[in-house]
Amino acid sequence: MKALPDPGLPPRPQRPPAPAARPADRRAGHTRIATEALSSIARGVAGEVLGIPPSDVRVVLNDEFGSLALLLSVPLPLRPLAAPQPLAPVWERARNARATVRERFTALTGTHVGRVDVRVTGILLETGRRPA
Amino acid sequence: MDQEPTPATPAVPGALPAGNTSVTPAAVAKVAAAAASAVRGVHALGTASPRAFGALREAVAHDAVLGVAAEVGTTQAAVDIVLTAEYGRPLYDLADDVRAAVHDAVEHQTGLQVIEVNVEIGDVHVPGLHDGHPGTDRQ
Repeated sequence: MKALPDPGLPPRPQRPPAPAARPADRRAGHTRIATEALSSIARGVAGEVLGIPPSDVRVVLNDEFGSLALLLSVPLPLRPLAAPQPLAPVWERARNARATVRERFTALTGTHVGRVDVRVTGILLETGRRPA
Repeated sequence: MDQEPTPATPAVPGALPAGNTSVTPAAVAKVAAAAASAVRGVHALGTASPRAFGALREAVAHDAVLGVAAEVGTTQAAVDIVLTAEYGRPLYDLADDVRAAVHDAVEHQTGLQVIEVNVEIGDVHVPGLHDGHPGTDRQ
């Protein structure tokens, strides 16, 4: 995993490799990816990156000057403060997820993503034993 | 079926006896469906939500194979496929593989020339997401 670019201002995403990358077996016909498919992928990717069940991810797809904007509403897991391995702060995780989500999403769908917004809507408390 | 009557066959001595062989769209669709389902990363043909391929179903009101529509002429065929992908594979790679598999299978098994194979990824099956309605399930 390479270092994530500064998530503050996302750099212009690079185009995914053109489908013509495999010229030998190019055959006629269109490929279309339905919106349903894009949002399912977005939920899967966000769940994977943030470590939450994909069913907890809400996603809204929007147009961002011709590329795609993802708005993810997610709850984030939190461990009790006394846990042996505390998680990174919520803010940090949400911020860092944006670039990774975009990278994975573009790899899977070939779709230009111009913007990823993450809205933390709740906390999934990892209920461990409370320190006595 | 709107098969045109047998074209006048050239009366070459020793040629095949007169007769017409035709392949129906349903047959082509089944061949295409079998080929597409076998591709790695295809979860199912069609989508869970019926409205996504309502237009498709309309096009072939009868003898429809779920998610597959075929148009067949005398020597050529075209296939439209709607499918649900398995999460994890790049969708364009998957679509290219499906197109290649369907193209080869139909040409090989029916002898028709395949003009085009249109692939629509109608939905993606994400483990842990597919059950229940989005927004209501919570584990």
